[in-house]
Amino acid sequence: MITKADLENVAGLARLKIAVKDEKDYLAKLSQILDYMRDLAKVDTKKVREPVDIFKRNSVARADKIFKSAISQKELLQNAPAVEGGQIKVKKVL
Amino acid sequence: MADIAKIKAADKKIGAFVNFKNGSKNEPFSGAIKDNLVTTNLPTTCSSKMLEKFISPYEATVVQKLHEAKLNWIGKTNLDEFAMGSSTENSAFGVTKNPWDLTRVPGGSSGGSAAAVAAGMVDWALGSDTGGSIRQPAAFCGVVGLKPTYGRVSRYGLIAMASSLDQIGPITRDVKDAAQILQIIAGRDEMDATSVDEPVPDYGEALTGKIKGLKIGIPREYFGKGLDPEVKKKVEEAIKILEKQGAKIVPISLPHTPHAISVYYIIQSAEVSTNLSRYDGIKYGYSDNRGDNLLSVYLNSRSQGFGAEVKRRIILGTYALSAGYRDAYYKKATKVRKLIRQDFDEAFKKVDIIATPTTPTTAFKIGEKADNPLEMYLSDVFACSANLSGNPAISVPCGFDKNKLPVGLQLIADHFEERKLLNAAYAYEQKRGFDIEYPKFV
Repeated sequence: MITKADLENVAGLARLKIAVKDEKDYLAKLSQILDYMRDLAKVDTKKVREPVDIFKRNSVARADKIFKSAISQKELLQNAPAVEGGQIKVKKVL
Repeated sequence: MADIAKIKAADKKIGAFVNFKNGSKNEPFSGAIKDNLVTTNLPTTCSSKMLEKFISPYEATVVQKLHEAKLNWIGKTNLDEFAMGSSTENSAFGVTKNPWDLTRVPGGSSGGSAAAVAAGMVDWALGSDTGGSIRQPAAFCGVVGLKPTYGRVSRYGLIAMASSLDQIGPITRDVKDAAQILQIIAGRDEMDATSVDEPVPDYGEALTGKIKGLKIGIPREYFGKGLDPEVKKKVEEAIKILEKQGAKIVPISLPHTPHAISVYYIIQSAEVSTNLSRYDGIKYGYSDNRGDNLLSVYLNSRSQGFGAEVKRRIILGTYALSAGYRDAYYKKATKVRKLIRQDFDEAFKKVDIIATPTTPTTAFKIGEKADNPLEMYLSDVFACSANLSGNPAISVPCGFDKNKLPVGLQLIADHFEERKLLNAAYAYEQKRGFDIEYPKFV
């Protein structure tokens, strides 16, 4: 069960706005999914340690050398909605 | 490959493609690419309004490798938005139809890729599989779909959905073609730290069709409640064909299977919620800058750019990771994931291959599950475990139900045992005793 307050809190954290008309639908569907997931509580995991790497791979550290990207600044900025002086333009923070 | 004009005409009925490449030529062995793999010469939309106009400044490693192998591809295929869905109905650019029955879904999320191969528009297509998204549509469309071992194929340039589960693989009409495409795309890539430095063996050479003495495990958890009797019958017949060729059939148990869907949808949603935080209306993608501060740009761009299912999963994942709920959901799911992985590790001490149905039913009707996300999620019940455990798995057509809809046999192997997996699938394919007459569209 997920409450309206939970939904508002989580949507805020996720930077999403849920329209008032859609709240009921979100709550009903999310509650149904979360109720189904309750079956996990039945699994005994007392002796299971939270895995760090499920695939048991060794460290993938590599030599710390500078890698020159083939992508130019112009190409990187081509999809930005607002650019000024070679930089991405944003609205005021506050 | 058929004439490009005919393919475009056929696509008006099927809706497999999001974009066609300009000046596509009629070359033999042409393919298509799922539209969540970045390309520099066509937009990469992820079938989302969020990326409708996005043109990547770089190309995915798999796309570069296809280019180096001189393989031609003609366009980008439709998917559920950001690969979230099992029916290719959640696309901002229209629903893809199943070529076997245009009133039914092709499965998803690589539904466009599977439909394009089944309809004869292309000989091969690339898909991505996070919880069955190659194998489930392959089963629904009567084609072969291979999810390689996690780390076998570079994910560089695959737009991230759930990074610990995503894997790229081929969809083809037969096992030999799947082996050929895997040969091209497999291997370690400096640009993907999770790609593994394992030698890439010759997959074509492994296709001997000889499986005498091969031990095939049949997990009882995959043949119980919820499995359509017609699907069950076809899969059991397929297992008999493998047995006739000398394979040894071994009953096994994968005891944590009933929890796979819960584990999968918690971990996947959690990873979705973090991966998709990059879409903020600032750097690229859909942007609504009408508000008067930065926060309003984030809120408006994300709320309008994403579709309903994507938003639902972001919220679910954020919830599962949030203070007060993390232990009960995310942490618990990662522990049970470990148990699911152990189930497979134990099983592969006893057997070489595991055989199951790919899906519990054949293709369902368009709209049938569209408003019931939990029902939709359950269509991945047999496929998602192999993503949680990282094992390679393949779906091969194994017959038809009374509505003439294809049924898929799923084979699973131990990590990096794609040779064994492909050969078992090939051995079945050679002896299955029927030819597939694909519907004619081109």
